Amino acid sequence: MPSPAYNHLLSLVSLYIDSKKAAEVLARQLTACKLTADNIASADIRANASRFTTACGLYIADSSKRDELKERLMAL
Amino acid sequence: MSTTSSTVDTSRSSVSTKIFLIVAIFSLPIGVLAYLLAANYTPQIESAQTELSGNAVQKPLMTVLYGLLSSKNILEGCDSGTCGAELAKQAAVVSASLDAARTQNAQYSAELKTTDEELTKKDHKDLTFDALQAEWKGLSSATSNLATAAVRSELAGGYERMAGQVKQLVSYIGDSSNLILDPDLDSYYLVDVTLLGLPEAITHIDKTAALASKLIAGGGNAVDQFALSNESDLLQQSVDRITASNRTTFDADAANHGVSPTLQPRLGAALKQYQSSMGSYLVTLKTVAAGSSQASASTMAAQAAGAQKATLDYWNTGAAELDTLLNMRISDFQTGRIQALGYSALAVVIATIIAIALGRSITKPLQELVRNLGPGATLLGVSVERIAEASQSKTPSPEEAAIICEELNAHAENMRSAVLELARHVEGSSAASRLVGESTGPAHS
Repeated sequence: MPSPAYNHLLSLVSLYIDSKKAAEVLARQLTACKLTADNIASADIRANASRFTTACGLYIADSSKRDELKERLMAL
Repeated sequence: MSTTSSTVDTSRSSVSTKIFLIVAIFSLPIGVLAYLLAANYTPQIESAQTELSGNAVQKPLMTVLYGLLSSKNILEGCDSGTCGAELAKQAAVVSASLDAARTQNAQYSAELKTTDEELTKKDHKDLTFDALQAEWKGLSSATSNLATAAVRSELAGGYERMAGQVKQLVSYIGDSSNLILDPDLDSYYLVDVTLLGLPEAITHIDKTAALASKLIAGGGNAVDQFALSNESDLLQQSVDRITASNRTTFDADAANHGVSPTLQPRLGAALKQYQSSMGSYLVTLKTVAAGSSQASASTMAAQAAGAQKATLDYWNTGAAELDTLLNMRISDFQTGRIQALGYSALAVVIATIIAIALGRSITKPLQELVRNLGPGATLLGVSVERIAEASQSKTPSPEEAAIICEELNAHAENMRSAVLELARHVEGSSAASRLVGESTGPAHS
């Protein structure tokens, strides 16, 4: 069962890209970080915010929105 | 110009809309065929309903005919003029039946073309119910004075004349109600009995009874004997024809809209009764015609009255069974019409369900392709932008490069899956397999 932190992360990213695509991108990045949706915590999100922003940002055309996502991820 | 714009409009429609349109186009001929099939039942149902209407008016008219001919027979056997009570009994039957016929006719006159205007237009002014009732009023008022033979003879002539008119009206209604054109073998032969055979037979009974009474009373001669013999033969032929038609009705019943549960038991019993009564009447007639009869005038009159009553009873049973056959036909056609429409609707529903399922199987890979192509365009644009930035940077980030490669590779994989699924739907599994062979190498290299 996905952790609350993951759900929070997914809902935040889904504000910028399609939720299915967001889940796919996050799944790949979690694998790379050796994390899972079930065990990821807020601290892990902050620690890997740059990776998540880079990956998700590839699907956001507007650079200001990319920056905004990064700020919000860091604030999690 | 309009063709171009409609082409443009169609090209802008979604695949689902186009599939729906294809289903609608193919449903159209099914709908037209269903309509034509249902429309084919309607005139047959209406025709049977008109036959029922005709039969409904004929029922009381036949009783009127019976009452008039019975009254005539009573008068002919009324030597002393003391037959007022018997005549009054028959007069009540005629009056009630004439009123009933008029009431029925008021309901069905438009479809049976028996309005005063229609009958007058067709040179049948003497057959209108106004004319018949006026004539009956005159005849029934004349029964108060039956003292002389001349008066009784004139009144009997009046009954015969009116009976002729009623018989003509029965025949006219048979034509206008399509009874004469009945399309089923069982009901056709039953109509032959009720519309042609029995009205003819009851008239023959009247004629033979008059001749026989004359011969028994000693007022006849060799010509009357010959005429009675002749009329008896005609009556015998009439009974034979009725019996044969009745048999055909029984034989053909099962093949026409199912077996009527009451036809054989009720009509069979009525036919037996009729044959029995007619048989003994015909035997008496033949002995009278041969000059060897010992029958009295009253016995002859009673046999004639019995034969007429048996004819009316048989007619009433036949008419009731004809109603049953017609109602079964109507019910059968109505069921057929509902089934035709129901099965057509079912075919359209099944076609629509299959089309929706097929449509979904077509649109699903397309949606997948669209879902990948949309973010893919952004992915490619941003990736190019990042790669360009990284190439100019003195400290390129290997992690960012790895993420970009990973996302591009994942996107390529998604694209491949979607294209293969689409190819499978467009060109079949073999073409999809070929595509797999062609596409796996470069994507993974």
